[in-house]
Amino acid sequence: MATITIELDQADAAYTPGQAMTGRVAWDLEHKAEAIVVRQAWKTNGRGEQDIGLGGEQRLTCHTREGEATFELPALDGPYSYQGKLFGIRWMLEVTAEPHGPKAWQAFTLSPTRSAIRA
Amino acid sequence: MHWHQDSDRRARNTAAVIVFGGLFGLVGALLSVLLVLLPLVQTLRVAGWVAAPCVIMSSEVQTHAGETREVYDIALRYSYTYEGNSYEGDRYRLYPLRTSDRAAWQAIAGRYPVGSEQTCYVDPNRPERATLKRVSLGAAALTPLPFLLVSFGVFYGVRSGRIRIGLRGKPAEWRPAVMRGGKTGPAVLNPRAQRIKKLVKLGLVALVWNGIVMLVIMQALGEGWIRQLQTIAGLALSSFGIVGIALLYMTASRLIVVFAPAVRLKIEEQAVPVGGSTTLRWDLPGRPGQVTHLVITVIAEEAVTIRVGGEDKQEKHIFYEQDLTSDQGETTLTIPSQTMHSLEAEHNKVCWMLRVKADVRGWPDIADTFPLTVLPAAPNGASHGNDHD
Repeated sequence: MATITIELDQADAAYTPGQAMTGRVAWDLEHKAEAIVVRQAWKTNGRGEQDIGLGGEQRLTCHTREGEATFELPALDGPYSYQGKLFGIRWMLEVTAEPHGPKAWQAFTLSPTRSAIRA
Repeated sequence: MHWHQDSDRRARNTAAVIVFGGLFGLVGALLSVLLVLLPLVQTLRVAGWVAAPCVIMSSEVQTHAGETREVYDIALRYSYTYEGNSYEGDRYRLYPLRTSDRAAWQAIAGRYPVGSEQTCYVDPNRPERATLKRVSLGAAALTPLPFLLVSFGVFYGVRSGRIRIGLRGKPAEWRPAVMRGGKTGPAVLNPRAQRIKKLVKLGLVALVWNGIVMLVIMQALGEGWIRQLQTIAGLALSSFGIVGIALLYMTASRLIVVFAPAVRLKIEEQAVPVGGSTTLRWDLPGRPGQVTHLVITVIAEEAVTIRVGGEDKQEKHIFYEQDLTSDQGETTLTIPSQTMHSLEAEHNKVCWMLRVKADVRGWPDIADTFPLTVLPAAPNGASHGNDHD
């Protein structure tokens, strides 16, 4: 079965805006992928309709069916990780083997205090 | 957790919806010209026609072959005298109208029996022209309304983002307008424009609502429906009338508020970062002592759009409130360092605002709000830009 994993170097997965997010992805695929893409994304949860946003992304070259690589992406200015009464914002790093490969996710926190802002 | 699948699922192809809305708008506009504008022009043209007694010579319902079924109108002849001269007329209303409702035309014919004395209206410039009915706007004038409402609904939906354009969903934008090239720097916050905007919105609602109610009442009066107003429909009409009066009262109140004295706020920087500060100054309007109990507050509010039964509803929650009022007419506004910045996503928002409340002698109380932008703290002193487009 094809697998892909993502790990952050920072153990607590908490970042301040502008900080470099570094880590490692590993894959074991049935066929060679065109690229391995690491992408930042956020989404809201709570009482309201969901909003989903994309941040930066890095495309890693993929020469083999099985392998690993490091990545580095700057944490964006915002939106901050947030937990309010009506909604919250969660950040994720998504890694996918394009075009049809498996995906994996790693949650992280983005704020100046390195913890979710509470209302 | 397939984020992009979620995004795709939520996206809708709206090209067909826009064409649909456009067609409805076009039909609505054409019908408005034919059934509202032209009759209205005719009605205005005869406003100065003179009332004169007349005698009905003949009165009967006329049948015509329509495209799909028979349609009817009334054939009338009447004689009248104007300034000593005798004339004959055959015009019931100013513009011809045929409908498939035979019973309605029979009722009209019944109101003009042969030999009865009636009142007609004569053109003083061309006395050979006369009409029995001056008000020509009937229930048919309501016909364009559903078309226009559908069209308005579609375009409002597209503009407000409730109906999304494009074949694929776009990632949600979250950044306040300032971060997308909006204005920064000092600003004078004048509530007049905001008050006028509220007045126009409410005024339009009152206009449309009361316009419809008036058309129905005019039609009822003109066609003798007044006798039927004791029915349930009559009661419904009455409640619509009460709502219309309430809307007019609220519009009048808003109009007064537009001219009420306004506290003028000057802010040194209209986009303040989290943890940052700016200076806020204000001038009191009117005579000394006219404005009392001034309270200026900075507020942060969460707002979410919830879809309930196919309708969007907003829910709000204030999570930060600080009184900024001082006797000096100036204060420093500081945004806490551990708070949420402004967020303008489609369904989930964090809105910062300044609220001004005061009692003004001789006027309705002041209650104005001004949007304030709170930016994410710039990382390492960098400025905000379009960093991930």
